[in-house]
Amino acid sequence: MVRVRPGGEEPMKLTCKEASRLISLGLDRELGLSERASLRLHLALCDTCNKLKAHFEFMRQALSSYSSAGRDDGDDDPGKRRDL
Amino acid sequence: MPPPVIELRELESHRTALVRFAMAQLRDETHAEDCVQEALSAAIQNADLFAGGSSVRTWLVGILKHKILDHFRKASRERAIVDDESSYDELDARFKQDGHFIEAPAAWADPEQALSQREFFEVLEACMDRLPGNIALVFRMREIMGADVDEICDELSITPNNCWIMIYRARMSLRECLEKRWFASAPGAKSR
Repeated sequence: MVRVRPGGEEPMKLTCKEASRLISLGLDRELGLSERASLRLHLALCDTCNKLKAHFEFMRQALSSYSSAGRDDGDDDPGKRRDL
Repeated sequence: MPPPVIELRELESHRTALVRFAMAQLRDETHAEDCVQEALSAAIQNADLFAGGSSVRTWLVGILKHKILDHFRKASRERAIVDDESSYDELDARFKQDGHFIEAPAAWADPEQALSQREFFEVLEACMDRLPGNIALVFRMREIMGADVDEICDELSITPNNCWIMIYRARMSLRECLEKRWFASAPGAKSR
């Protein structure tokens, strides 16, 4: 992502570092209005952080299916059920 | 409709899987067996509460999670969880001075498909095992036990801010580990 930072601070503009923290935070608590607005602005422009967000969301899904499947010796394959 | 009936034998048939799940969380066979025993006893006593909507396994894992959380709670009273004072800044190694990623996350090919592969869950487990102790504990409580941050803070006597930082660190590490050990090498993961 190419980002220019014209002189002076722009409070609405996040770096990827800041965005990554907000993405994580958003999975654990509701973001405030300005947090949400600045994150949305960043995500509209940043492909990398969209990937990161998708990865975090996928990890949550994987960890929850890991626990509900209870991982048996293959008789309870979570993938099987989706095919029904 | 008559309430669903669960037979003792059926409950017992899940024991092995439950112990494996508990082992993954607790890393201690005796504690894992204890938690599973408690969960099965609770299930037998409350069999009439089983709603029948979900599978028996899901129901049992739900009970087991509570028992494991109880265990974490007791354990945290015995050994104080070190309040992880390290700030976000410790993670700056992943970012350049200007806040950009040094190594940007790659596109993951067909993550949905990974969820149907046993090998993926083995990698996931191995990656979870690599998380440092306290971070792993907080992250497991959050993502596997489904506790919210307030509960975790209460139980471990840490601040919400610390909790969020620890979870963030866990997510960043786990993400990198999965990318390296699964998505960069999994069959069919060559589209970049």
